[in-house]
Amino acid sequence: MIKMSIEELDDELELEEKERVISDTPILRIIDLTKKFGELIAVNKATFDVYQGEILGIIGPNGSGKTTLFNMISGVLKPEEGEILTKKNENIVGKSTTKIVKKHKIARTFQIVRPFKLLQALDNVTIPHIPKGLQSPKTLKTRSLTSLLEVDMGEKKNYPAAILPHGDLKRLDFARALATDAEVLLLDEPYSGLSVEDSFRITQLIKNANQEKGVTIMIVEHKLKLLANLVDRIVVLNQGKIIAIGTPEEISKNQVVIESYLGKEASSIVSS
Amino acid sequence: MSTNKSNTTNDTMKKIKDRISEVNWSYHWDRIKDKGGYIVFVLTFIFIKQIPYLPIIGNLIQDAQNRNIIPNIETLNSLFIHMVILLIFIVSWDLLSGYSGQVSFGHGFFLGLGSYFTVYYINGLTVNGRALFDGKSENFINIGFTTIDLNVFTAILVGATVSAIISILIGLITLRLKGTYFALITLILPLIALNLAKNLWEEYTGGDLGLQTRRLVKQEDKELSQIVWEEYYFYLIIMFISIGIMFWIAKSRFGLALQSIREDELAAKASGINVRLYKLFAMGVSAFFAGIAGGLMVQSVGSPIGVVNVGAFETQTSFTPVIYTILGGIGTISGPIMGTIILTIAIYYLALGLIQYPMIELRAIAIILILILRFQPRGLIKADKQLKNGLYIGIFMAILISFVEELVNLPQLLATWFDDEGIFGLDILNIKGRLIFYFFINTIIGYFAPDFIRWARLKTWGVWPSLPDFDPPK
Ligand SMILES: Nc1ncnc2c1ncn2[C@@H]1O[C@H](COP(=O)(O)OP(=O)(O)OP(=O)(O)O)[C@@H](O)[C@H]1O
Ligand SMILES: [Mg+2]
Repeated sequence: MIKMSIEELDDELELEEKERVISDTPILRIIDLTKKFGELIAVNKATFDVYQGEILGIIGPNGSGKTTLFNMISGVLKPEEGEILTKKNENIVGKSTTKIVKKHKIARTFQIVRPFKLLQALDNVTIPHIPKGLQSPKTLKTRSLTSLLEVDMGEKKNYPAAILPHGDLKRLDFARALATDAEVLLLDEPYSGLSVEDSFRITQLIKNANQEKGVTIMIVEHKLKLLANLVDRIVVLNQGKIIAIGTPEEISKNQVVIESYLGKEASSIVSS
Repeated sequence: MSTNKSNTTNDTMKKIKDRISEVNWSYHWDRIKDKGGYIVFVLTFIFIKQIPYLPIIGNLIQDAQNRNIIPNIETLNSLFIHMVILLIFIVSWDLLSGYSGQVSFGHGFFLGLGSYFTVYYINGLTVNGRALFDGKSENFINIGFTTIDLNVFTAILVGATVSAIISILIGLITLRLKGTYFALITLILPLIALNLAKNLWEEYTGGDLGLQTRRLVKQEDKELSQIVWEEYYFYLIIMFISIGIMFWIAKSRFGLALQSIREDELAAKASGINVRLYKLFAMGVSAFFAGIAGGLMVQSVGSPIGVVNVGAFETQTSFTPVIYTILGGIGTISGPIMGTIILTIAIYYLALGLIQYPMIELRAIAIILILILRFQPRGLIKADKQLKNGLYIGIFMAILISFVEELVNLPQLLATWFDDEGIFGLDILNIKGRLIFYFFINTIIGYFAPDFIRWARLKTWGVWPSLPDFDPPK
């Protein structure tokens, strides 16, 4: 009996996973995106599509331009060349970060957490709710409390961010990005420096956001194991160039990728 | 059965009603205590004229006034007028620098703009023989407790608006500058204005002598002692409204957005905050209220006419809010209020107590500021409990001792112990000098006494007899 029920549960879980809809229309089209820092070409003619509803992983060794790519999409850096087209075929290159967040609904987190240190946890997630037009103080508070509860930080709402541990800050950062009502979420190394337990919580949050809110998610990550079971596709960057795009399995078998830098780690994905 | 049932429901209803009508006094008391500072602040400023005539406290106050421990009623009036105007100016600085993080070292520029344009609006402005706008005639209206000149009042608002508009124009230029560079630009502004006002445009600014204009409150028909109080109460209303608005902005979502910009501009942008707009908003509001303070400053010279001169553009004016706010606690509204009140009073006592060395009070303030920055960087409002208690004890004991000093011949004793030079320039023969002396000694005692008592108790009879609120070791 017990065995049966567990299997049933497994089936149900799998069903849920299968229910996700990834549409064929790209929500973001990145075309020939190039960024140079003097002589160094940090991102070199990157071209790929991001489909609505998918979870896209971006991997690459240190300094391969992953953060630079995110900086360009979120309007922090201006590319020398190329286009970033949204669903409505608007080019967002050169637009301000504020506009990209508010109008085009692309939010991001940072590789190194950037909380508002002296503000309380609740105020940290209130900030992204403020620019959402007219709302009563009560609505604002409800909304921000909901955002905070979504990441399990309710009991720490009055703590200033400066005293929160790293794991909490990572989740706070996530909550802040999600609270902007983003349709596309750029997560820059959401697992860096996290314990197994905190990593698990982040995975759950990512899955939740993707499945229940239909948020399209792009994740930069080093730990390939975590990505393998989470993402639909992976983009591999090396020295600013995209060397492969495909499902985790394809990537782990891709000879170019293995040869260029993955080495042993790739085989570990295959075995897992 | 049915009656029984309705009885029980009635009982429960009654219990619930009792529960609801039970007032949680301790909760309300805590809330009142939290706001205690504000309540005392508001009541003192409103009833300062009546305080010497209150029962019980009144007698004490009058006694203290007779002994010169606290200033007499006329001095209190001018001190409080000064304080009320300064408060608007200093809180406006804190809204810009403490909340949005754009530290301004030239806030006197906006004060000066407010002053000059108030005067121009009343007197009219003639450039190259052509009148840009005409002066305004008197237009008195009675507003209950006093009669004010409506045109002068409008002039103050106009001056403040001009100040706000110019600040936003400056803000548009300096928007991309961060931190130090913004501070440098603002530092230069009043210096340029001072130079222009003194040399190039002297005919419009009156140079060092300044310009004269009418006063806000009608000066005729009444005695001067009554007019100064009417003026005080009118300025007080303006201050409560101004600080009320700034307080509301600081506590509302706008204040939160400003703070997020101060904490991390990029993260604020990534959260969808329109950083440019909020920065300009902060500059505009801050300059507006600095302009209001400027308009009132014209009126505060204690003569029947209003005077404006280039003093507002002096560096000292611009550094006043920096010093006062850091002392009180930057990034809060109560901090600058507390800093202003404490420093205004401190300067008054130091100026009279350190009479042997004129102007030394400013240097004494500088030393206090350095100590605060070193040991209590968050200001007095968030200072250590130990220091706060030390200061409370210092103030209380200083006043107490000054009441009873005659009984034990303390002044004579002190005079024989120390020669005419006094201690650190403190005038021991003067009650104000002795007050500062008592205050310092008692603050030091009050600061170290708890530690000493704890140490002595542990050395002599251990933890017995009791362990009231045990502090964990640091
Ligand atoms: N502002 C900048 N100025 C100059 N060079 C930069 C700048 N930002 C990044 N770079 C360079 O661009 C390259 C790509 O950097 P990026 O931060 O995008 O790498 P990354 O893939 O995110 O690396 P990591 O895994 O370490 O986070 C690096 O060589 C880096 O030194
Ligand atoms: Mg990076």
